[in-house]
Amino acid sequence: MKKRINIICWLLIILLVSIYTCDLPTQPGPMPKDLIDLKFEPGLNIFGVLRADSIAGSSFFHVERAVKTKEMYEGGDLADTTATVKLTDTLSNATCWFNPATDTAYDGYYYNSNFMPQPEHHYQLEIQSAILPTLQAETTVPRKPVIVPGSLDITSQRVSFELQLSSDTYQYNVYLNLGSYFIEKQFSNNRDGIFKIEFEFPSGQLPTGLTIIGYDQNLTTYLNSSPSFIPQTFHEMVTTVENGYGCFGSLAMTTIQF
Amino acid sequence: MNRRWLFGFLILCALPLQAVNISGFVTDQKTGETIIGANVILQGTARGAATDVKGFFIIRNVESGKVVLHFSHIAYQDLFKEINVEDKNIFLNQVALEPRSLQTEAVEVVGQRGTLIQRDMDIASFEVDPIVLTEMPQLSKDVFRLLKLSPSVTISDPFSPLYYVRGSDPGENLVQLDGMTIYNPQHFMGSNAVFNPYAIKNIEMLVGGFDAEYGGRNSSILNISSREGHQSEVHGEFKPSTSGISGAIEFPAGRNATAMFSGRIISDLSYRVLMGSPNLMADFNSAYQTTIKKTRLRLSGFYARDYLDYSIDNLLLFFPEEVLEGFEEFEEGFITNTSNRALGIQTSSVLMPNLLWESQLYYSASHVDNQTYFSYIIEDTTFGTDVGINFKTRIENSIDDVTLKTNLSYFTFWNQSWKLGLEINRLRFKNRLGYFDLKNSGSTYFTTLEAFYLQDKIEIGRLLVKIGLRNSRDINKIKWRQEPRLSATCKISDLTVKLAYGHYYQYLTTMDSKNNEFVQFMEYYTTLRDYDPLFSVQYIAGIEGRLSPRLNYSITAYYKDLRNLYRYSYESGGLALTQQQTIDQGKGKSYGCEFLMRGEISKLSGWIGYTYSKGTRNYPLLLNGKTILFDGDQPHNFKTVILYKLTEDITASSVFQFTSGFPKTWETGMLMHYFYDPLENSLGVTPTSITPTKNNVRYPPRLSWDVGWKKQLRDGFGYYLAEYLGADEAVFSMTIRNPLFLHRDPQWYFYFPNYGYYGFDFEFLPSITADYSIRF
Repeated sequence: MKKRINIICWLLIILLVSIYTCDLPTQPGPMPKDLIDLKFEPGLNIFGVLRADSIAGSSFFHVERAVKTKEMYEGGDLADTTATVKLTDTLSNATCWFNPATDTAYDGYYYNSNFMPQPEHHYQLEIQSAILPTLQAETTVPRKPVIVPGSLDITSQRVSFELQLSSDTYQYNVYLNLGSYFIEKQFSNNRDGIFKIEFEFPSGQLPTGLTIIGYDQNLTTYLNSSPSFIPQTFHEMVTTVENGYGCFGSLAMTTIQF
Repeated sequence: MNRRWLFGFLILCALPLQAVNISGFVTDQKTGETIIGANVILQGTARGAATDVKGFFIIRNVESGKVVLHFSHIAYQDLFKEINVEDKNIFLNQVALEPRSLQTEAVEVVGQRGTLIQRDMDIASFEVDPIVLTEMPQLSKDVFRLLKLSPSVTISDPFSPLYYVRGSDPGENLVQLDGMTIYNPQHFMGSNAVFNPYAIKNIEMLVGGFDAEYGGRNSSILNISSREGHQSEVHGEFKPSTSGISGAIEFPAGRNATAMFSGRIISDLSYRVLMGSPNLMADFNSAYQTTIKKTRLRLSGFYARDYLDYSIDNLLLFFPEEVLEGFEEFEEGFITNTSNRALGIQTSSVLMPNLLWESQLYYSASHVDNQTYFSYIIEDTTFGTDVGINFKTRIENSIDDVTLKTNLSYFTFWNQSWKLGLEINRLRFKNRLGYFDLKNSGSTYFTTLEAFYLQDKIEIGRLLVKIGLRNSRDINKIKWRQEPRLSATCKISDLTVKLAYGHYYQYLTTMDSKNNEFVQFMEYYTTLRDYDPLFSVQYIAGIEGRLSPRLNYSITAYYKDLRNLYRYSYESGGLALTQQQTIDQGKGKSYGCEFLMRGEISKLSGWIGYTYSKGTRNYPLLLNGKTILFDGDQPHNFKTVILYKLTEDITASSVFQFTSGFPKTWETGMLMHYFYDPLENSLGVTPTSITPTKNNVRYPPRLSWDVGWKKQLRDGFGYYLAEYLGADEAVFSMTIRNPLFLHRDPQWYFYFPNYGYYGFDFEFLPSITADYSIRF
């Protein structure tokens, strides 16, 4: 019995020594030694939205850079204030420029105070940067959401109506304004037609209005994509632009006051 | 002319000649349960058979006159039965063997069944005596933890119950309980199997080369048989704990009938009280079996439930408010609601001593509703662009299955047997992804799968050949698919050579969500009704031999040509407006070589396994069809399971694993992902990584070593408590995980400024758990 215990002890010691002498990390610490310095593709990263909401100047672009990991964590400034943002209406051939915000608190933002996008118009975007590839994108502004006349019904705890769907609108967000808060409904779409929507709310609340927003395909795709914060996880880049990253899209908005 | 010869040959094969067949069931004298792997030998010859998973055996071509059958099994007393053989087949309805207490030899961890006569196992199977689940506390009595110690199996994630078998995806594994498909056979919490270990009678995993009888999955078949009950007494096991209760009972249920019921209910009190998180994990299993003349009838029922509603809000009550200073609207949590159920009836009738008819009708369903959310906003008062994240996933998935299976097994002369079978599955799939709140969003699909098969098994001396053809289809596609299956084993002296070849089709697929849910616990099924099925061609070659009477080894090589695969991801499913947009069709390859040595040396038992394997994938829409490493690719896989019977009452055990790291995706850069509030017309950002290439680095190797200790109590408080409660046995067990800090399994690498990447491992520290249970 004693001899057996001795043999087992020696086997354990040999095993431990073998393991520790192998080229193993001694703690779950530094990254894999053979990590390749992977090629980083520089480019602009933008978010641009054309808002057909009957308010001039509400559309904007935010332009910044994609960076190497080290620069992101060590506090680099990503905003690009030197880019030129050109928008062309392919229907009218009109071109307009968006200018960088004058307030440094809004670095990276580009505005045009007179611009009001037109529903069903197609726009082409070109953003040129001094050191990064020229970014291109396009969008078609959806039709304004329309409630079927005579379908709106408001009771003490319910608001219902019929929405005229449009095939150029890929997602609808509908907000019922109850004064201090909104109730939201959201649904995807790929057709023309009629769709009934109902809201129910607690008694004693007074609905003051409705806001209906219709998104184009680009915004629908981008806003429903999920950023990954799980490290070392592959996720496909959801982008609606060429030669860069991010999203250029459009929405149409209808607001109704009760 | 050729057709006439073939027809004549088939008729000749079917005609019974002078030789007689002896068949029957072998059972335990005390409990009445059928015995698997009992040897039945014609005394004075080398001929015989071993009982199959239903305890059935058949010996062919027995000459007339007095013969003696020798029944033997390591756990039972030998039985010699004299039979007068005349000119008609003989059926022995119930041959009862008396149990015997085992010597203080090694625990029978590797089925000693069929050591004298090669049991007719499929070409590549991993069969383990369920006693291992109770002897090794490191396994926490979990079937999946046991299976993951097989050289053919690779885990997908230490926290996930899903597993890869020989380079195929987790969704290509089939799990059956008493022949009923269980679609999500794991609990959400703890990643344990939904099967109560006490209720398990047999575990068999077919990792390739399976007969034409098996279909619908390309990778593996896990067959779990539950216990049948006790014919003369009430027996059971009861295990209380601070978080719940687990127990099982088996008892006589009338004349020629037995029943078994097992259940577990676990609810973590600390979660409920401290975290305010309601939680429940439960599973129930029942079986009723009776024998009516020559027919065995079995009713099986199964139900499992998981519910957890976790939110970080309650945890934060224990921390000062400053912890979240700067964060607004911080939310983190998940809600999971899953259920699994199955109900079926099975019959097994001996129509003639050499004609067996089996049938089964069952309903099985799985419903999963998983929500994960993580969001916060850090208000940026300087630049007007808040930083935050609004991460939400919601996956609802249901599958309902009504299946009818039936087959006829005919044992002809010339050591040939046929099996003719039919299987019909009526399936309903319901899926909804994302967080659209419209009631009728999502999709529902119905489909019917049909299959019929013919399997021929021929034994010619030392050669055993199985030829089968399975025809299957999805009724929506009309077209029948042929699945030829061929396997052969040949004994050459002490060596057994095995070969197998087969085509495999699968008519459903599962979603890959592990990049969106941190850890994927469940399978999310969808139909391939509108697509061609998954298809693979598989080749296996291997040898088996003996190093000593109780020490075996096997070397197996395999190659899988995965000609049609599908990639169904959460992102594509959430964005898609129709199902056609969600699924990417591709292909892949996997190959490898496995070495396994198992058996007993004196008081030591267990196995040592090593596997070298590779796997790749190509999907046209993923990186333009570039060949990438398969997610579960681990070239080197070394596993050992050792048990040592110190005394009659004490068993020590050790589990050691050393495997290559997983291939992972290393990010090339970062950018801000925007989130947009259309009402405020304001932007927020979330930093996210850029990953242009998948699986481009390999993590460091993974290493783990756990030890266990199990002792049957003979005195002390535990023993006297059991005695007071009227129990027969009390058992204490202990597990020490990672006793020497050897554990290595980095989960993720995070970047720290001025340092670089640093890896985190959640199980780096040792832990000790203890267990107490009683049996009656």
